Amino acid sequence: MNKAQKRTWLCFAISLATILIAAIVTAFIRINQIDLYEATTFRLCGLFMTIPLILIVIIQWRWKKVYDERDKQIDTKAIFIGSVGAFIFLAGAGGFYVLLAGRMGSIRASLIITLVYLACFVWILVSSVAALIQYGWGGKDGEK
Amino acid sequence: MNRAQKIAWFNLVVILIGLVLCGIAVAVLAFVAERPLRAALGGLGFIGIIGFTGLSPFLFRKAKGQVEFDERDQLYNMRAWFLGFCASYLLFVIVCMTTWFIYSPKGTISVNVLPLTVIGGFMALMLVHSIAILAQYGWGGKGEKS
Repeated sequence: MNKAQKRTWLCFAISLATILIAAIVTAFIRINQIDLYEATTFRLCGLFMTIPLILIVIIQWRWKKVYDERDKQIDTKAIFIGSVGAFIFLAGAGGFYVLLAGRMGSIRASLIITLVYLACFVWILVSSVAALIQYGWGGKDGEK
Repeated sequence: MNRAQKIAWFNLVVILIGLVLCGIAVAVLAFVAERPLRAALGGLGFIGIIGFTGLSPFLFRKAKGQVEFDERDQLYNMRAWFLGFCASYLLFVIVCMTTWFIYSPKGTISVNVLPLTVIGGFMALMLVHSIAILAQYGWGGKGEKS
């Protein structure tokens, strides 16, 4: 596995963990009818939401991802596919909430920011998967 | 002008026409017909015109047997799509932060804001993609044809 693949695996793991934890926390809040907008809960959620973002930013800044032309081409295609995935996620979420709330319904203003935040991690997840598929999921030729 | 430039010009003109018509319709309904703002926003229906951008690959078909894309075209196209997606995501962020500040996190907004944001994002995507294509190839024909 080369360094670009290791970096991609790490981004994949962080983004997948973030989305799964967000789904579990949402289910927990709804089942236990916790008031998300109570000051302490809101601040804790806000704090924990920044941790994966900081990790991703550190990885993007400090860890080189393009080592040769092949890495560059794989990265370019993966970014494009990730962007399409994030756009589909946002469009799908929009349609889902319209169906759920009805045409005259209303939603919390904070829902949009949550969707945009999750779309960022969907982008990272889908682009990581696209890159890993192109690399072949793991080291096949002993490259380091 | 090559095929990509023609498609980009067509998309750009269609989107700009849609935006101008929306602006005129909303302004006429709001200020001339003196309708309430909610009714005047019905003028945004002209946004549907941007659906014509879907016809551009059919209007500008490539000739049979012709090579459509070389490496340079592919690079320009990828860059343009990347910039388009950045613009659409930026629009989503602006909309979410605007609603956050106006309505506060606990406030509620109409659910129709979501599909309108998606439509706006798509428009931003196509607009910036077209401008990026034209900026990279050049705004006018330089002799290449396809």
